[in-house]
Amino acid sequence: MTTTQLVSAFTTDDFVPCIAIGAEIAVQSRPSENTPIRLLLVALKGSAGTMTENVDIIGPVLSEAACNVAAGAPSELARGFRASRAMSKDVETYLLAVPAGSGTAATASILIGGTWSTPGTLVIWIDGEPVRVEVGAADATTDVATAIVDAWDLEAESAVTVAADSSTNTFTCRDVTTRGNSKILYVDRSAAPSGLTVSLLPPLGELLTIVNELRTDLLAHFALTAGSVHGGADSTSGASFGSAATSYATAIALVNLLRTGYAAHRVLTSGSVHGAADSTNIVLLSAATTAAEAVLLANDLKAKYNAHRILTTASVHGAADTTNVTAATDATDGAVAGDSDTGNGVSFAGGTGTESVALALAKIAADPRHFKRICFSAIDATNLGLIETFSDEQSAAMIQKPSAVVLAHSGTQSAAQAISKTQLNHEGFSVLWARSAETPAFEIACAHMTDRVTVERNSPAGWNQSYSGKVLKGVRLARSVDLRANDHATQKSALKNGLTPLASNDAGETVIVRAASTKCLNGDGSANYGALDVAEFTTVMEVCERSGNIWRFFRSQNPKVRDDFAVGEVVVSGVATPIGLSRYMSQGMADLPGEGVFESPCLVRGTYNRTTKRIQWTLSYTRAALHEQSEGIVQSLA
Amino acid sequence: MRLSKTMLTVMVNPFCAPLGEDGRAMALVAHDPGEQIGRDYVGARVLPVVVDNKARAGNPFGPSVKAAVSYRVAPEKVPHTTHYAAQIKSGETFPCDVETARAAGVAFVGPALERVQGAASHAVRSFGGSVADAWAKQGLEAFVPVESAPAPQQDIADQTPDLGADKDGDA
Repeated sequence: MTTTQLVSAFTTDDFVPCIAIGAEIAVQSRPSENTPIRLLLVALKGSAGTMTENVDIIGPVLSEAACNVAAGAPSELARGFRASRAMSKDVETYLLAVPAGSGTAATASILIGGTWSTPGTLVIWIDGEPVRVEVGAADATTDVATAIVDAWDLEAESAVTVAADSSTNTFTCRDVTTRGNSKILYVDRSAAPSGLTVSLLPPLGELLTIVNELRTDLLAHFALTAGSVHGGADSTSGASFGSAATSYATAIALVNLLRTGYAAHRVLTSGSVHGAADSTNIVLLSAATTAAEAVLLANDLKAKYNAHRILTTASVHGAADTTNVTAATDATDGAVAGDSDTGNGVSFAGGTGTESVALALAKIAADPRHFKRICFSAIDATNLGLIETFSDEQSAAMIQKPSAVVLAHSGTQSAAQAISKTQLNHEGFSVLWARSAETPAFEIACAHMTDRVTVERNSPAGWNQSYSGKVLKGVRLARSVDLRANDHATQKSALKNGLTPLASNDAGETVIVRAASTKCLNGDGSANYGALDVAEFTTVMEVCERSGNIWRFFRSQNPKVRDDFAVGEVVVSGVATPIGLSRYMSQGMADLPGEGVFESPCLVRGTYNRTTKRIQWTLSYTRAALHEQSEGIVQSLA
Repeated sequence: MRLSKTMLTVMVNPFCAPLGEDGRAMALVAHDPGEQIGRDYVGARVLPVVVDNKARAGNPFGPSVKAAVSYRVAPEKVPHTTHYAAQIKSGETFPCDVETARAAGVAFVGPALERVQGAASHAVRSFGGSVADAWAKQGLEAFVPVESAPAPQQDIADQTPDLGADKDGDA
């Protein structure tokens, strides 16, 4: 007879009378929980950041200080992290930097003018953040420009830098990207010295484009004799044009020269230049003295010149000049509607350059961690195509690492829905829309996604939740109330087209109207709002993952597989069958109706495929509807 | 919100959004949902394209469906509402006449079709890819010359020529 050694606490030389008692605790064995919902931010880093672009996925990042070291305090990535922390400091957040593309940083300029004799404070708003500049009673305009630079030197987290040139300040985005063009500069002069003026200068790039193209076209047109356009070349009217403009000052000077030269050419009949003077296409505007006047003059000159060059009536020209067309878009003043505090603002402009997220996506795909929630700063069509392909591949049946993506757009509704409906139409993507929002789009996306993480990580009740009316802390919408999506018609139109509009509530806070996915179109062109609420994607993907976890555990208990046992057949333990899996999976999902995820218990149907030796199952459920709308009648009874 | 009983005459600016990856215009200028227009977009309609890519095999949401946009770059009458006035101010549509510009509170700076052509030129320059390809895909060579821009019509669905990428004449 053999004995079993239950306890081995006695040493061989221990002869003390006693009893050794061990304890065993029954550990409940059950399927794994779904992987945690992590937040990954993908954007540009600053030059001071220590992380390596496209290589390091750092995190969880636990503090703004740590983020600033890795990404650089004023970087897009760090600013997004701060926006996230404004919503919650209790989110597992990771950072991945992408290198900026080549291009030009967006700029905006102001001109300080006027005279004053009292001190005051000038407040400059960029990205929804105020910078206060103290103005002395005896300061000159150049002193104010310098004071603005000094004030900005203290703003280590600002996304722009500023330089002074005499009385002009030029603000330049730190990042080289087209997204810089979405920034808006406002100036609050309510506490500034009386008499101090701040002129918002129009975008320099647009002005230079049209003025320099006009110069080229006018010179070519003046000299054109081929095709009998002119009877002789006009070699005098453009003689003083000089070189192309490169600054506000040279643009103003050049457009005035063009005005004078065009006026002379238009009526020139000597030398058989024209058969008759063009007395129709007259530029009536006076010479420009400011950049804003130069914009108006250049646009008017373009219109009049384009009409003149094709004028053949009364033999002004022998034939139309269809070659030297000035096709440049009309220059603009860059004005963006503001409020009573600041008046209109001015858009940054001239920003070019687009990074590529291709290598970053490859890095995410190769990482063993599952990043379920990702915010990208890139919203251009090329990168969105890459992100969408990545998303689909990660969601594939054999990979099962789906990610929900949140983007934000601060352009017009037409431009935003070009992204949401035309470009994406994808259930895993949300595009928040806040036209002319002061808070940068990426930061808005980070704020909302952080809120989603805090809700959706509460498995499983958080999977099926509404965000309607949720406040986005720290997010500043457009200064002008008219630009906000506060009206029913705009909200309806936006939601129909896959946008998630933001609006203001009665307290002036920024709220989500309804968090929608971009999926809104069927293959036959009909509307598809089956995945309207983001809860649809979250629920499907989390239920998929849980069902996978249930199968894995079920398999560990039942390593063999066969078809259902027949009636009367001896049931063997450790063998998986379709009905066994169906029952087990149903039990594993049994809590979901009570958690408000399923409307009622799910239905699991299993079958056995003898050829592949696999159990195949279908899990059917109806997601509990979110109570977004209702109808009622209130009757006043006599 | 209706501002008056007058109508505005506008032309869609297909280039008010950046061009798509393939160089096509993607802008969708929505009609005012508060008005019974019967169409979703000003001067445009969506043509769905099913992209049956491998990556979405088995995806519970079905195959990838993309949209191509077909434009009718022609004057279109719309009610005078805040919605349409805002679109004119933001450059999503261009006013076709002085009265429309005045009603929207902007300056009339020239024929709308010329402005569309200017916007197209700017968009193509900004596109950064092959300019010729972008123009060819958009079909801009089919634009009528500025001088022969069509007169405003009461109902573009019935009377205006198709000037955009959609050559089938469908409305």
